[in-house]
Amino acid sequence: MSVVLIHLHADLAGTEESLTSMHELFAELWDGAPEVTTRDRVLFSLAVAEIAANVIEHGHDRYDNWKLDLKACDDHLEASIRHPGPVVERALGDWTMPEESAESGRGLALAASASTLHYTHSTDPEGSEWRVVHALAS
Amino acid sequence: MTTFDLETMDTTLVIRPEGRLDLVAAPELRELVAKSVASGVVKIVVDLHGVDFLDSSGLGALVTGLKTTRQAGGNLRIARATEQTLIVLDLTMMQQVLFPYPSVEDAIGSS
Repeated sequence: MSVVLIHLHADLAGTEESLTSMHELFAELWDGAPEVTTRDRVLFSLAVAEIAANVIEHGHDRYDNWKLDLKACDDHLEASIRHPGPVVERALGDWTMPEESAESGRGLALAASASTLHYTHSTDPEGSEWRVVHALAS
Repeated sequence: MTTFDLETMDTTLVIRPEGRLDLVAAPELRELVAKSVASGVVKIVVDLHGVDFLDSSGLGALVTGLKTTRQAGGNLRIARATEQTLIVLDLTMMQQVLFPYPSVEDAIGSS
């Protein structure tokens, strides 16, 4: 049974504003879970940020707001990103890393290589949910 | 908010971003490189020391810069990568394409 060390939530809107708030929330998370190593922090925050960027970038005005939950437990880190609107098509696609010369298309592949991703599409008002889970080395 | 400090060393433009090199800042980096190449400065070093967070958009802008400069007969190199940026390069298997030089001087000297 995991022990929750800190659980944070934010309702976010706007591109730059929401990304800044997200990074501030990461800082708050690490304050509440100081034992998490730098590498685990980097991998988890990278996965969450790539999902957030994907939601913002591909949602445009459809996803002008989204909700972020961050949780640090004694054995794993977990995030939930909820957004209203239609299914994110790329969530259903291939997350392979593109070729070296590609100028885009690495986001979900990078997120998936940093942490474990789950996507649940829902038509309810709360919207769809990305879950990012990152196991911590014991 | 990300800022870009620009310095010309010999024939190389050194770009020093401060802050996040992400979805928001990537277009600015692309534009800086494009303007530099258009003005005839085709050798660029991006000093990553002040970058506290690099994501796939920022990496994409570096790849665009690499292609833009190479097409003009120059190159783009990166220097002083942080632990976070090195992890991104590792996960995306881009170290061969964007080799992280330990210093700006090393990056310039390898040209």
